[in-house]
Amino acid sequence: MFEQLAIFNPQGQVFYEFNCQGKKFNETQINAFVSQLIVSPATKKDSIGSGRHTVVNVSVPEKANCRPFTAMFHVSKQPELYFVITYVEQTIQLNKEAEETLDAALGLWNSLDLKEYLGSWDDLDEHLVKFDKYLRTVYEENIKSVIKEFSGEDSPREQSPVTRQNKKSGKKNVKSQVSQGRKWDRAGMMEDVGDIDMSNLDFSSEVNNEDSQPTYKNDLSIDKKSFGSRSEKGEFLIKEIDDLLANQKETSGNKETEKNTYVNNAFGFLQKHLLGNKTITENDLTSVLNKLRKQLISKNVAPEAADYLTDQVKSDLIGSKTANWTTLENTTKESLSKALTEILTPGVSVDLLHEIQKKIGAKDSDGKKQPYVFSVVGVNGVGKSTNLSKLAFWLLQNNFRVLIVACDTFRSGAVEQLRVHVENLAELMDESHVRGSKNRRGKSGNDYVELFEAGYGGSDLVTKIAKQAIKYARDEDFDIVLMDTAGRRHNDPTLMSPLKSFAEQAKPDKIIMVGEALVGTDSVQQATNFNNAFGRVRNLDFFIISKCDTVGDMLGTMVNMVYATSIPILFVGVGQTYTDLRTLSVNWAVNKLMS
Amino acid sequence: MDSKVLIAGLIVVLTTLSLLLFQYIRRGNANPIKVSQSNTPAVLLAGPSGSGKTALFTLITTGSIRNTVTSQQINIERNFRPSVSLIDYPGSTKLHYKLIEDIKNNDRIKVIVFVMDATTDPKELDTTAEFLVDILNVSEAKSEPIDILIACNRSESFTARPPLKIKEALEKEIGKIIQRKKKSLGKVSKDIDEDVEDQDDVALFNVNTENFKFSMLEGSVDVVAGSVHKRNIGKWEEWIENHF
Ligand SMILES: Nc1nc2c(ncn2[C@@H]2O[C@H](COP(=O)(O)OP(=O)(O)OP(=O)(O)O)[C@@H](O)[C@H]2O)c(=O)[nH]1
Ligand SMILES: Nc1nc2c(ncn2[C@@H]2O[C@H](COP(=O)(O)OP(=O)(O)OP(=O)(O)O)[C@@H](O)[C@H]2O)c(=O)[nH]1
Ligand SMILES: [Mg+2]
Ligand SMILES: [Mg+2]
Repeated sequence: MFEQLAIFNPQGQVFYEFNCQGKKFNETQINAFVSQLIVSPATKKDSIGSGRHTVVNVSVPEKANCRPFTAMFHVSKQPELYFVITYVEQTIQLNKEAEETLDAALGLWNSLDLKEYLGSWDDLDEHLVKFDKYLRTVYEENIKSVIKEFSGEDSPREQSPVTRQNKKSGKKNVKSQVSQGRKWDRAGMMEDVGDIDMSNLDFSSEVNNEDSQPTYKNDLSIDKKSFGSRSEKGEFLIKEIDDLLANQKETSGNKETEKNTYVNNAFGFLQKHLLGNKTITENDLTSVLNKLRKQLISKNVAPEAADYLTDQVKSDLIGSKTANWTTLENTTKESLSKALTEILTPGVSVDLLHEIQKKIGAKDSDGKKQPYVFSVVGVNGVGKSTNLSKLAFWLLQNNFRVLIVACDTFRSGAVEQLRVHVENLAELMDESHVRGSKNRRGKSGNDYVELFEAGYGGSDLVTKIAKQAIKYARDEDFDIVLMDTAGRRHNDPTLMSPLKSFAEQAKPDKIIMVGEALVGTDSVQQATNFNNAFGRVRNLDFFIISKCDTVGDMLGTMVNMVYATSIPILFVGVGQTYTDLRTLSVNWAVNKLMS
Repeated sequence: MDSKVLIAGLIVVLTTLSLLLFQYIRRGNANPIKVSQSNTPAVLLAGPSGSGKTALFTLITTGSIRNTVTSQQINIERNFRPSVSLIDYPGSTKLHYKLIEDIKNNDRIKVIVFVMDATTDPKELDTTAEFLVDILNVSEAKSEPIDILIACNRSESFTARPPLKIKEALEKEIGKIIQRKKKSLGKVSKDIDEDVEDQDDVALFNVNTENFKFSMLEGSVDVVAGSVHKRNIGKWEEWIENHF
């Protein structure tokens, strides 16, 4: 059984909602879906089956009161409407059920011509009653039973602990569910609170009872009989619905063209030659988009990212009217700027100083502060060590004490290179610092900035250093830990796989990937592979794009990396000195790309 | 004689055509994104995602309370007062730039209603305050400063904080944000080696941040409680009314 079906517009107004499990409709779930769509419009989609609908796995924010789930959706045009079905996870049955339900909803929506009533809530509500009745009938009579036969058993939708427990024990006693539910909910506490009214505690109860029945084969027949009376009425309805759907197929398509020809005859000439207000078609855009696509690619934008952007422009412009007194080319350029701005704008605001202050301001139980930990990853020679040092310089200027950790135990000379940076920074902070001298803890650096090193070795050593460094930083009252890592080729699994355990052990607050602006098309793959290297639950936090001073306006790498991952770019490197780190300005990047 | 009829006919044809055209243009330009190009005065609804902007928009424009989900595009009502538009912007951070651009470019924006959730813990107002700072940065830079109503929604809830408390908490938080912004890395600009301050970011930096107060701003800021769900929005409507 799927969870929810919702129909709404991009403005956020909901026209129809249906909770298949008889619970109160949960908007949080749909909100999580929409938010994910906004933040990562280009990623995480896969098409299944006929490919008419898109499926995404939706992760939910920590505090949200729902679990991660899957959404299948269809977006209709003119008016733009979202038809979304949510369900627990992708299984063959659930995908199929969702697909058929979505088709049914779309079919009914169109045959009842509901878009005509969107202007008035009262009219719409009146017509939605019918829609609702039909949809429920189709679901009960056609979809649900077919899916059941198709799968032979109930779909594995049980995620709620209560149901799982219930299935194992095979009990249907409500009371026993109560105490078990509580035990599960507070795992570890092993509270046994006998008979508390469960209705407050577990909202899935209603569904469980109804749902635990069809687990057994012979229950299937009982199940069917149990709504036999409904079935007769249902069959009658189904016929009505079938007729309706068949009718729709014949008539659809005629209306639109009628309207258009009328408009064309009356104003076609004037429109074309004097004024804007012409409806833009795909053909109008082809040549100008080809030109813009070439331009993007000449600026190092990867072909797939360029295609994505031009598709955005198409869906923005096709069907809309040209503005007065401006050429189509300008309109298209404007739309492309918008698409670029949208892709480069971060989905979350990152205020690093604030986050650092929050973390180090909260003392733990021993009255010690936990240092804020960054680690920097990327392919060889892109500027990891250099930009880490630039970051250190900025943090030092903000009066944080910084521990720089040499986790590049691989490339010879890496530790020495980092020591030079630490000496430089120590000198910048305190003119009287003597290069090469040890501080009072016997380490390179001074009281502001210090190097944590443990020589060279394999990936075990890296994890060990990382953990020791964090403990050391905590004991010695450092605010920030910056971990440099070895450069690695993104397509070499033996080099990439240690990253996962490194992140799990060191638990950096921020994992930064440095990418160089010079790299070009390969940046899509680089960013994807590094982002995936940390496993399902951990992503990169942001990018630093280095060497932007060397590429002029060929900033395509930026677009590629964000396109591939939806991870924001926070900083850009613009030279080789410590002050050559800047916050990204989206306007600046878009202007360069469009110039 | 012939030519007279011809000219008369021509005039008739031309006037009807131009009238028709005029109507057609007004009706036809349905692209809602180009708010900055429409030159009617506008009331903007802005604020964090989930604060109740679309719910409020729907209540004001249709008088009914409807379910809503996260917005991806603006809602616009062109004649919510005679030739005044009401525009509801999505709260998602990724889409803020549209609001900011519109405030920058449209000189007919009179007022902004900043809808926020009054039940937010004052300690967690940082993101709300940050959004407000982004708005103030552009609204205060205008030649005619924009007045802002901070609409504390969900005041029917028992966890809602009173407007005065929210106001103080926001002022404190904004002070901290401005100080942090001064310390953050400069933005990359046209000449890469030049570390010029981004023009957009200076408006707020002139105020004394040690003790930020809304009263230091050019535009007026009022903080008023209300609730969409309880249809308790009279004070907000009154505030808007008073600005026209
Ligand atoms: N022009 C310019 N050069 C840069 C920038 N960032 C780094 N570099 C240069 O790039 C070269 C490599 O920098 P590193 O920091 O050693 O690179 P890395 O990623 O640590 O290299 P490995 O540790 O060997 O993988 C150095 O010569 C840096 O000076 C930048 O923003 N602009
Ligand atoms: N309790 C309570 N809930 C409200 C009130 N006003 C709105 N809500 C609910 O808050 C949720 C979010 O409201 P929206 O209007 O969609 O929020 P929004 O500000 O448009 O959010 P974005 O479109 O994401 O920017 C909806 O579920 C509303 O029903 C209120 O006064 N009280
Ligand atoms: Mg290095
Ligand atoms: Mg909204």
